[in-house]
Amino acid sequence: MSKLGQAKRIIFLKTADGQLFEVDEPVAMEFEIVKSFFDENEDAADDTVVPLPNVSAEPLAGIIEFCKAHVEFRANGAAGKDEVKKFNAEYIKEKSNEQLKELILAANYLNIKEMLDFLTETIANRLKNKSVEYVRAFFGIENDFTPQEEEAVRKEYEWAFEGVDED
Amino acid sequence: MSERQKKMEAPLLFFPHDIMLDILLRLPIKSLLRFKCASKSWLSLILTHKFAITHLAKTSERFCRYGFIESKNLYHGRLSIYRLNDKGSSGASEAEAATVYDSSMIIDRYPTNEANIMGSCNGVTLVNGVPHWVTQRGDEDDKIIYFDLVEEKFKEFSSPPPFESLRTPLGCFGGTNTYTVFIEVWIMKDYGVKESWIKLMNLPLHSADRQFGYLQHVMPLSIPKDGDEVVVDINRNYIASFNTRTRKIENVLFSSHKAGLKIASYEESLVSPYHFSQASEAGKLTEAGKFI
Repeated sequence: MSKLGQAKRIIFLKTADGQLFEVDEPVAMEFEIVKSFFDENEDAADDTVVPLPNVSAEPLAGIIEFCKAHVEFRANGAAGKDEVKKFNAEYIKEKSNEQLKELILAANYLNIKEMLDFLTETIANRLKNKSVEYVRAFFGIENDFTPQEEEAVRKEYEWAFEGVDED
Repeated sequence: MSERQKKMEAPLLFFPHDIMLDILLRLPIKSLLRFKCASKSWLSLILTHKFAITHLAKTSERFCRYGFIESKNLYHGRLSIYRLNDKGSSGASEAEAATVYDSSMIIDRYPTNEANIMGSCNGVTLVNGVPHWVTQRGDEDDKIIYFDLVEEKFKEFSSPPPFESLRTPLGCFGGTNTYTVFIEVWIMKDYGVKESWIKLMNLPLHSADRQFGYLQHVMPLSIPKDGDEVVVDINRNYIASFNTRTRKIENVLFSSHKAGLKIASYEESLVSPYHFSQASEAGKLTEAGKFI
């Protein structure tokens, strides 16, 4: 049982879709945007609700899960070890591309360097052996080449189009 | 319709440019050459010199790759360079090879039955943007020569290292006795400064390590900037990593019994060597290439 006065501080976060999250302070402080909110408002009351108008509940829940685990890894001196790699691999395994995109946009807005780096690497790995069409769909890129122009660009490095994974 | 429903129905059209750029910068060259035809803006982005330079600087930080040329392809007028799977992805000794480069360029006109890699270390045969080689002529001592890209002339390197048998300008070996072969790795800390040659490490290849057979050819492939791993090409059939602290073989990354393989380390880059001077101005490559 924790002693009085040493109770863990809880940070209140409110998402764009109106959900209230109660997050342990060390986890919330992983978000640079939350940290600077409290740095700039030193006298903010303990029950201050930090608004996060660019993040909805689903990605935020995912981000909290990731940051909580990593805060614990660091506290246990497990950073960089196999159990971290295992957690990270499990974490992204079931995530769809849409979920990954929502996560990376949220992590970018919240400014969580470690997670942003991990997600960027994850997406790069997911895309590297994919077709051009797949990558266009992923980023929402419109093909503005004429068929002839595209063919000319493809012809230049035909070997780069060999051995591409199925979409 | 609630905000949330709207969000779910609308596709994520806006992907911040800096995140997209960061993802692209982590992709291998083969993917980038393919994704050039995603759109006109991607084509022009990937073709910019700045993108190529940033990609190279980032790539050098991240990994050094090992690969080999298989000469037999030359009979068919094609030069194929294969790479091992990304370093660290598995400790398997049988490497999966994937073509990283295919060319039928000049070889059609100048038939040859052998392609050679003259020496490569940390993925770069270029030192400060200049190609360097070790030459041997008759009884003369080994020399380091380089090709001056500005004057387009071969020149002799004015600061030869203080040891006898050179293998590459970057890492060199010497000293054998009956039971143990020592691999000495020397580096030149400050380019062009003779006094800055230092012996980085001295690794013994014990008789117990003779899984490689009689040692005819030993060549460093990568020397750590920090960290403990030195990667060595042994007899053109093995790529093995040494731990410089324990002085033991850590891992055999690749083994093959095929003859005629040429093993090298390399970095993938969109940068042409002719652009190296510009690259140095940008200050990024000097950083990446400082060690070598």
